[in-house]
Amino acid sequence: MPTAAPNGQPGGHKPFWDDRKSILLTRLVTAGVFIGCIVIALCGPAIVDWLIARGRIAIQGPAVRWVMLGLGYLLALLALWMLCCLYRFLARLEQGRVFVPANVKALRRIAWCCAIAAVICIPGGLVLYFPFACMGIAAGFMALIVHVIKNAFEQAVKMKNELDLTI
Amino acid sequence: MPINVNLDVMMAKRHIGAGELAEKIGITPANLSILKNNKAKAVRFTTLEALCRALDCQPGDILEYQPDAADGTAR
Repeated sequence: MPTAAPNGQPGGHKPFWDDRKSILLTRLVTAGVFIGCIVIALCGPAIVDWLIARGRIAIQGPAVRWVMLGLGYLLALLALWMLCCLYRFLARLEQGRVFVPANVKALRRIAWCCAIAAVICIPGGLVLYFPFACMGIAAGFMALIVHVIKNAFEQAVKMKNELDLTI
Repeated sequence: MPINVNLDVMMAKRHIGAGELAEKIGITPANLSILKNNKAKAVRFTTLEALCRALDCQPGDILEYQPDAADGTAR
């Protein structure tokens, strides 16, 4: 007959999946995406040439390649900066530092990165390459969601500060 | 904050040290220091009750309302 542990798990077994593992997995995926972004940025010219050769770009001309590359590298920089912020945010969560001003700042930066990416992608997608516009809409939606989460964290930090000074 | 905590006055009257008082009321010396230095934003009734019991006093002996200079609406 299995014995009940204090945490309610039969036999006192630790659950296979917990918050810590979830955060660790997210950090690993974030690091993987960061490396993926660098690889894509390095392959940028080849990808743009491939898109132009396949006739996927709505506008043709010699400047299109450089415009696509410029936009691509700008988006890559934003993505790398956002992933850095996300990685550090997750590291703080792993350390148990959840409602701290640094996390609010990180979420604000992530929201701004997404918003700027949306502003770049939506017009770029409408003029140059339609899938950009879809990415832009997704980034804009993400920016709104992260902004709301940032506001919630900001409120929680205020409440925590007040609670810390309640004796 | 127009609420002053006169804990140090009561502690001096009762000849009790911070460490001893903290131990008696069951809070950390760091938290007692926050309270004593008027840094606290709120005081729980349980803490106030323990303070009053340990210092043999009334809440009014520990807490004092002083209106802000700009406010000036003490009743």
